[in-house]
Amino acid sequence: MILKNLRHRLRLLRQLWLLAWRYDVLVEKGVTVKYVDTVSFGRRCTLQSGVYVYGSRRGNRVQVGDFVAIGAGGMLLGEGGLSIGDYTHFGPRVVVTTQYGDAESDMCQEEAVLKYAPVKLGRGCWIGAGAVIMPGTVLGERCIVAPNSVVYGSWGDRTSLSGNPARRQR
Amino acid sequence: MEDRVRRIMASVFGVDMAQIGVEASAQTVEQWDSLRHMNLVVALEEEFGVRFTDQQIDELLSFRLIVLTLKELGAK
Repeated sequence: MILKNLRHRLRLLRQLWLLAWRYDVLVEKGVTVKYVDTVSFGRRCTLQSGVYVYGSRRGNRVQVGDFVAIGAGGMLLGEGGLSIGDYTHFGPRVVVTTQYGDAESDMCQEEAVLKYAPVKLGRGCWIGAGAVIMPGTVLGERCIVAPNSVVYGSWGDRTSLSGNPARRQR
Repeated sequence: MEDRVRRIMASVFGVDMAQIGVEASAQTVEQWDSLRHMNLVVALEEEFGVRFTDQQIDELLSFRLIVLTLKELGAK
């Protein structure tokens, strides 16, 4: 078990080095990246402390544009495919997930049965601290998501959203 | 109103509009899961300019109930 854990940590370290080698990304302390070969970053991106990025084992991509900042403790789960436009900024502890549990399945199994839906966030979006972006969400350009909101569905450019489920602020 | 609801449901569930009959419900539409249910809720609110209560969100589990609730909320 100790060897297994050591090997795992070495693999994670290697993925982090590969990320820093390939892309113009500022990687702060405690960042974890898995399946780095399916992840790409544009210019001058920042992953603040404790960010967790999970690529895809399903042939999908996690594509992050230029000048994107992921706030401390953020989580990007990209199994279903994830695209983040240029200049989009996340506050701390934002979660973007492209997967969700299949409640129709037998939930007592070694591995959970999951469903997937891609997420697309447009250019110049601001996502407030603690927000959760659910699978299948599409945001246009320059959208604002209030802190702790839970976002579902498709929204056009310049939409301001808040709440759970997040609704348009009129 | 029924046709607009049908169109939104077909779009959210990724099925043909013909599959959304008056008897359509969470039991008959295979794609109707918890995530798509929330997608349906926000899409209906946007389309009809209404806001469902938490209890209504829990109960919008069939085409008939959706139409009934929208009428109660004064949607046209």
